[in-house]
Amino acid sequence: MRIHILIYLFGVLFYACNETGYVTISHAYPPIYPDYIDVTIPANIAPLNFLMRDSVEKLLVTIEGEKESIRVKGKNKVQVPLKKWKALLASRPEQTLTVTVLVKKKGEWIQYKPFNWHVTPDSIDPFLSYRLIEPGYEVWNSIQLVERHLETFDERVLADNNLTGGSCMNCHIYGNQDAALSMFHIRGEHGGTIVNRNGKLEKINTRTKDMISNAVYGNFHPTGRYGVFSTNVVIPELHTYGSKRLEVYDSAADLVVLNFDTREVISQPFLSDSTSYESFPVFSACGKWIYYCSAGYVPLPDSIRSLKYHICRTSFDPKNGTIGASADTLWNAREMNGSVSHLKTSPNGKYLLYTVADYGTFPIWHREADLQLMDLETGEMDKLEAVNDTCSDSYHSWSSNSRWFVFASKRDDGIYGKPYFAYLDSTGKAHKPFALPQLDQEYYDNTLKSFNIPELSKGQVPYDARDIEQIYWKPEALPVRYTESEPKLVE
Amino acid sequence: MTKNNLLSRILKTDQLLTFAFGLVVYLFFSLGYAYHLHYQEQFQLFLFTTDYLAQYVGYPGGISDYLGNFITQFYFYSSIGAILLAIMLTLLQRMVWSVAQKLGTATYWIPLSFVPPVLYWSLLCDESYLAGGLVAILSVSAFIRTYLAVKNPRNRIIFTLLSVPALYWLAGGAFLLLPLFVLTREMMSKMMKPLAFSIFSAFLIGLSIVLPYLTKQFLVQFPFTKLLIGATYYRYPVVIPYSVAIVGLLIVFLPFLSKLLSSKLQPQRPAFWLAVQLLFLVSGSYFLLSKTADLNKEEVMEYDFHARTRRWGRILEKADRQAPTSPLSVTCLNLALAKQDLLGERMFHYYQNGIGGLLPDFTRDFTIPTILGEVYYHLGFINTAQRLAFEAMEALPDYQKSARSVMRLAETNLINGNYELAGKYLRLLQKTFYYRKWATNTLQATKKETLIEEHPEWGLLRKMRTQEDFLFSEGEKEMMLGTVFMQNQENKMAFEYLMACCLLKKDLQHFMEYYPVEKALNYRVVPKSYQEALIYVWGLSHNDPTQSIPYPISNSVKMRVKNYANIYTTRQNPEQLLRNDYSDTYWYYLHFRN
Repeated sequence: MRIHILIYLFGVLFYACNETGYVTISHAYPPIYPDYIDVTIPANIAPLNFLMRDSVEKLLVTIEGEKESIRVKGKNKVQVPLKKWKALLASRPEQTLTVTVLVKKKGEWIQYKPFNWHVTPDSIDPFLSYRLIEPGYEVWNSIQLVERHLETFDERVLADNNLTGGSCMNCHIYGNQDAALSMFHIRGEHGGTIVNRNGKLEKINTRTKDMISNAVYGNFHPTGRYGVFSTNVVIPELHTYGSKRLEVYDSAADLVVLNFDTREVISQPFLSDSTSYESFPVFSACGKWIYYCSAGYVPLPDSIRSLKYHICRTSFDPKNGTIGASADTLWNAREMNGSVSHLKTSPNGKYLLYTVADYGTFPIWHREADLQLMDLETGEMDKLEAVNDTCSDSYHSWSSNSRWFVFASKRDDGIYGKPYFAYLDSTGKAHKPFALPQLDQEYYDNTLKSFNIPELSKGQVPYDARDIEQIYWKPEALPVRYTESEPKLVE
Repeated sequence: MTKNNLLSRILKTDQLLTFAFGLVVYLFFSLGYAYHLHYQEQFQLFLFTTDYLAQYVGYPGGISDYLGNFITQFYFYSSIGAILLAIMLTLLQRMVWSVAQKLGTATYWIPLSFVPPVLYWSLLCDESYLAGGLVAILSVSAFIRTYLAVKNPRNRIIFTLLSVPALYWLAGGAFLLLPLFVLTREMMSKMMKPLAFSIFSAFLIGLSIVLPYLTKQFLVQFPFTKLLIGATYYRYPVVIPYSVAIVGLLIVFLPFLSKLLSSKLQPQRPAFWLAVQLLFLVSGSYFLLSKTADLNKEEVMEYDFHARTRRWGRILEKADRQAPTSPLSVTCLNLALAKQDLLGERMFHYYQNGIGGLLPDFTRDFTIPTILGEVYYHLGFINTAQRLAFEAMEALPDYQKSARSVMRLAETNLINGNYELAGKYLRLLQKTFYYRKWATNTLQATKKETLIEEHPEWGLLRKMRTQEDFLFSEGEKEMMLGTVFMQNQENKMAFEYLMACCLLKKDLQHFMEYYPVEKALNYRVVPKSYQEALIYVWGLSHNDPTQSIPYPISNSVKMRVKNYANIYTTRQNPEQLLRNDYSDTYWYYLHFRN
């Protein structure tokens, strides 16, 4: 059977060379989904399977490397065999793969313009966790935290709200992209912040009476000893016009640091008063700074379009666990005419990656929201034009080598986010991103789930949904104690 | 007629009885309870994809759920749904009867075999009982019947031991009925030696206990109760379906009971005995179904179905026969009146229960947002309709998707010009049986905008929808209706809803403020309820409101207000006196409805 197909394929190609009337040569790229035309990929990624968006009767795809090649056939989609794909990528650590797509459409063979996959030896962290949730409004149904092995198509459920009384689950984040250091929040009656330190799970009640809410957006200190969090009183409002959907804003937002060893929560008066809203705090790679977003008070929701967040920075002393008494503004929202959210410092300490929207603090429902990169050494900003699209691009995370970042993009349809991976080369140039490959790319058409908060890690987290079920139903969460930090500026 | 002849006639009547039972079930669901079937169909999205199948085969009882959903998709046409339900319930009866016969039950005990299907029928009157549960029960019955067909004792043991895990996967926790039946049967028949029976029993019980625990080790994402119960008998997973357990136990023990009765009671007149049982069966079934069938819900579902399918005339015809009283039915009726340009004219001809019957508040439910979404959709609140479709789908407690909601999401995105997203929903609907054609045709509109502009509904709604952004505020419905109307003064429905809001809230001050806008809408005649409100307000400050009133009030309204005022002001118990002749007026609503 396979021999017959090869003979047929050769016959088709032979006629393509000799009788152009038999195979039409198209000068357009094939309408494939996802858009994998001329993308840069790591050498350890799973095969980039794709499907044709227009109706075709047959599909023949050749992936040609510098040493080896693969031919795959399908009806309207291709699934590249994993073994052959790995062998092809292993044949040379850095190479350009040329992909030729030949289709039979209404009885006629068409060969589209070939495109390239640039394989870089800079590998990506092999595990990705994300939250699968329907991009709803107020009501949620099934929520899962899932871990995907990027080198294959294996998926594992880390937490499932089916097992935790239907309660909401938030961002699963790592410290130093290390699977032995991670956390996420579970809400609900038995909820708390689940902290994984070397596989030991703790459920912490991050709220004290001095705080406006539980911990919300957070980040680990490089030592793993501290976490920096915003506490937010979140209000959702509904837009009535066009493609606008939800406007989520904070009616109050403060910033705290939690010491996981002593379970002490500290803050500073200027980070916990009602004159400004603080959100999305992160530690610098060296651990001596806290970057965060801050906006001055405006009456909400009436002045929602005036709610614009700056990027600020304050010092942090990891020895004493104290926060500085003042802050610098690195990105002025008024001058830049935008609003920043989701700060992420690169593991090598060189970059700060963030999202810029026209206004507000919830960019996933702002179509104009784009990623931006700041060089922390020079202060230069890159609008990442090769990376961004017309729909919301946000919720990003770095690979441990600082050469890759993943982000949730709604570019396909405006509301269903999918993980996209972008490469940042040694010169700091960002390349066109590609979507998380699936075994069957029709999965993206069939699912009504959105991929939230994709986070890369170097390994598998040491727990699964059963462990989370057990800890969730334990009656008590560990309490924390609130103290205000002594004003102290770190050199 | 000799006793033997009579018995042979009865023998033939067992099939006749089954057929009659099936026919009654069919008539019940196709004529009396059809809208329950439509209601169930809309809250699932059966896809012919491997992903969808994989989602169900991955847990115990999932295959029953999958088959149940497969059957439920045919409820799209209630008559087909009724046929399928009739077939399933008659199959259950035949299965029970066949088992009973195999155990040696005398023919005149056949009415007992109707008890389990009748009980399940009564359960199905509750819209939250799903077809997957019946499939699970049928599967267990089929395994029990097959077990009895195996003659060799050793083969029976092998069959049972292999069937238990298979049945667990197919039907979920209902598999326990098989070992229960097998052990009862083997114990009563005494065909096995005591030691063999003890070992077999211990092994079978052990296997039955171990299976769910073993499954939990591999299927970590399912709660243990789900792995114990398996198939989705009831839409709400927190509800443990004890009633189904009773039916299940009857399936196991009724054949033994009927066999016992056959051996203990051998009546002289079997026909009479049969007739007595049938009488009990029919009267009992009638009593049970009259208690479980909820005709009030059926009414709401009927109104909603007509609203969903835009059969506004059918809604009005139904309301003319009997005015609805439940808020959701009234919501559909008011929508139909508005779509027929009759809201201002005739809304008080029917029972009105305040703002809750016009624009109910959002609840975290799947029924109210679905119906409410229809109203907002036709009013031009496209984003709100979209949100409500989404919320309704998310609120489904059995984690299913809703074909109706996905259709609405496709429509709202087409109207808003989000063609990629509309395409996603339409491609999904292309993988269904009944919505495929609609989705394929509608997909054309994502590529050719004129098809939307020229569409009688989408084109109109694209013009009528909100033109500028504002934040939705449930507590300020009048403000939102006013804003939408001011953005597009051709949106007559928004104006009529605004006026209806004022009238229903008895807020005549705002009614009078908004009334002048009515002129811009070029009504040929001022709607009757507006006339009634105008003359009432005028009457508050004038002795004879019919004289010198500056609004165009018809002579009939003038005459009626005089008579109404006369009764209202002079009689002791005016409500009763006014109810017959004036309950169709705004005045009556104003004075006597809360």
